[in-house]
Amino acid sequence: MPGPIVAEGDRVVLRTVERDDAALLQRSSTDPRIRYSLGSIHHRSLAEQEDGIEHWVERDGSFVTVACVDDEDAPAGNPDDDQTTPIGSFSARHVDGDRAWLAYWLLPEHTGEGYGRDMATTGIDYLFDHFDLHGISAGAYEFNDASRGLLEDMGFTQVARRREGRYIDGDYYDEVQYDVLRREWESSEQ
Amino acid sequence: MPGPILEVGDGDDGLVLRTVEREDAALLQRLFADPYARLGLHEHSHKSEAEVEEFVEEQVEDDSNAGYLACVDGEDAPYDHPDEDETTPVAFLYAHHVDRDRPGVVCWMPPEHRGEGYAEPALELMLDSLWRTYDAHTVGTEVLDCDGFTRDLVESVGFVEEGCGREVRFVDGEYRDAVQYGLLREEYDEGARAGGE
Repeated sequence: MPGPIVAEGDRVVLRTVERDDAALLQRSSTDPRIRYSLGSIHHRSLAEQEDGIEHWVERDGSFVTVACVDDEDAPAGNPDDDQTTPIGSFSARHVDGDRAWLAYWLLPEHTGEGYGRDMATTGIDYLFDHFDLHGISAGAYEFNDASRGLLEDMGFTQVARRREGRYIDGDYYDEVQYDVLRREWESSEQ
Repeated sequence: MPGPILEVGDGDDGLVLRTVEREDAALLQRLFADPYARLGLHEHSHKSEAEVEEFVEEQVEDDSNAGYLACVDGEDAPYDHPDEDETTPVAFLYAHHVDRDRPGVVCWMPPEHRGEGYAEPALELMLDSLWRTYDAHTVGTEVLDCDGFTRDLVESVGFVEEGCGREVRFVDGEYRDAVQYGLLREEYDEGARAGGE
């Protein structure tokens, strides 16, 4: 189960990733409904994902959380199984530099419920509040309308389009890049 | 000194690509002292010669990357290891993730060799070698917007501007934009045909 609350949104909370959350994170590299749009070329075993938690999630410079929807009685500390529902993950790399890169995803069974924007804005607010970042970048394949729409809604600017930059889901697709600067994020009403 | 010849240019100026050897660390060290050039290697600071030797061993020699020294050979320079007076290294060319769809290209020429006319043919020779050797679909490169020499160079061989990360890197007192370039294999092939090669 995920651990204590790191950041709290309106409906979504971000909790720490614990080592027994590998099966949840593994979904991002396996589930055919999300892994292509995430660019997960190599699917991972549970053991590989556990290794990834120790070597990537827990590394300084990585900010990785489990997005959860808490029940009313869920504690700020470690919740029991029946007190919270993990719905996806919000993460950023290179938070120890001045430019971080975002990644986030929702499990398919929790999309369409309006959690994505709450998760992303909660995470980005936290990143700018607690890390000395000048800007945040994100990328999405050209066909990923949900992710691109969310980035645009949140005030990210499309800054580059790497043409046919990745072979994914059977063809070469453009990778569209976005970024937002701290002053832009802080001046917008989220 | 650089090692054996990997590719031979089609001009009569003696331009070749040779292997990067560990003893070339002192030359490459200057790249890491150049705040514009080191962007492409995702480095933020200078390195000691011993650190650059490690970079050669761990990165340049890794099969997922490819490094070259463009050299101007004298008339009798061998395909084998040259002597110091037989060749002059004029540029370092590097591609990371050559095993993926879009290798990232880094090209660096020491300032004393800029303006001699070797930069463009050296980068073309390196791209020829990449396309011959690896099945990359495109190549990319990222150049700080204030680095006019490198921007002109990559544009001269056909790289297309694809956008610009805003205020991505703090260099020389300011946050600088990083221009993103891409080049598709088919575009390069068409360019070569149009150029009569």
